Amino acid sequence: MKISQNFILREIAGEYVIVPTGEAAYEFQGLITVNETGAFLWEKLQKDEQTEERLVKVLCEEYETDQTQAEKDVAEFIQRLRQQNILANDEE
Amino acid sequence: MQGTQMGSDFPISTYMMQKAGRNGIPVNGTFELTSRCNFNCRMCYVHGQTDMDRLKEKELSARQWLNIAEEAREQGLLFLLLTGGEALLREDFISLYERLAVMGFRLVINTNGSLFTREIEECFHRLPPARVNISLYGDSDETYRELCGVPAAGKVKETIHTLRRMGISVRTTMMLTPWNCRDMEAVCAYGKQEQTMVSMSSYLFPPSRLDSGSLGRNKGRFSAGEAGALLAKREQLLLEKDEFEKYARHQLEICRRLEETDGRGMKEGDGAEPDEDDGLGLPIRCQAGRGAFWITWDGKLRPCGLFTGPEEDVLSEGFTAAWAKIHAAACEIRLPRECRYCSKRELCHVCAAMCQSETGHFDVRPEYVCRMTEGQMEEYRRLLGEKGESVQDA
Repeated sequence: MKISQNFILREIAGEYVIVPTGEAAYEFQGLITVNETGAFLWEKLQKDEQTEERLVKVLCEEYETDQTQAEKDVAEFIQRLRQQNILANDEE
Repeated sequence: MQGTQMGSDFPISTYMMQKAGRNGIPVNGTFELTSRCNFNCRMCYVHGQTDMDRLKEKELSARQWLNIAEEAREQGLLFLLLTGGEALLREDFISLYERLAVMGFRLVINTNGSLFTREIEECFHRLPPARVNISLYGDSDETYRELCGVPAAGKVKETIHTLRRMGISVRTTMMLTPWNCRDMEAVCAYGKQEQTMVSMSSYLFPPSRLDSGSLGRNKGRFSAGEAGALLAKREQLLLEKDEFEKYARHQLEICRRLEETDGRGMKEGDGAEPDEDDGLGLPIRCQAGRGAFWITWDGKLRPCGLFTGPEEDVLSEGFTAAWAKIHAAACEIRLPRECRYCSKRELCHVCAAMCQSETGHFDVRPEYVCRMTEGQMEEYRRLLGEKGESVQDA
């Protein structure tokens, strides 16, 4: 899975904001904010194809968090991305 | 570690603007792409000349706008309004819009709706703006001819309909003047029918950007009392009957309580307390120059498009330096001292731009605005009836 090209992550006033562009703006008439870990996962998903397992691994490495918490956070994050149709090449 | 916490949607916009305003980040900007217009409205404050070729020569090029946009984005620009004159009159509007639309802004466009083409429709299909604000000045070509000099009612409505059919958010806006106020019910009904947002105002700024001798005057506007009464009527039209009655009573009650306390508002529920008193008027209350800016068609950066100054030349200074100066200047601006403890302050929409264009000073009370607010209160009382028991039908 990967982030659709129709979304841009920006850091403004200390907030991470996701802005829809192109046809994504029809379905998504607003903005999303994510926290630092959300922005971290976003960048990974934007750069390369990812799996949930790989995201859990890099999250554990970056934040030295335990596996269970990382799995929960990644699952929650991916679920929200799916709800907003933000993922491309998503083979759920 | 906290969860990933994705909040979504519009409250974020308000929060972002407030936070940016506190921190002097230019999150909200307006690009006035041209002063040219195919209308010649009696109340316009931008489009004053008829020599379109000469005006066009002084406009910033698309490349210059894009350079400014890139620098402003680096500084935090997120909400970008494209306006004019008539923005769609620019021959390069589509190519400029296409570039801006992929830069990560939330784009809104102000237009009179008369120049919407198949090419723009196709462009918006691919790259929809967050919203289009369309001025609907009247319900008929006759009204348009009288106010704008162009019989465009049908075309403007067609544009609104097309955009709504495409799923694009539209705000229908109407400036109320003596030449078109007879159509306000019809315009409101049309906006509701097309499921657009509707906004109306009877306050017209003196066109001080075009004519420095126009302080306190606008030949296209109502008397202050009439303008105030129309503000009340507007609310009656836009709100449900019960909502309007509740709102009007609440506003009158706040004014009454503030009057009892010489505007200090010591009782609970009297509205916002004035800030700690430093012997001056309050600072700017809106985002102008704090988190918002406006760049005129010829490249002057100002806190708001209705200001005549302060201003900085964005081409020679660069956006970052120009914004820093404008932000600092805007933070020094104080509103009139009298407004600080005025008993009508919760109802009155006085702002720095109104003060400047009505009086030439930010800290001098604009009498027209005072009288307009009184007119609004008087109309509330009339509509609520002497004993405030029932609301008359609109």
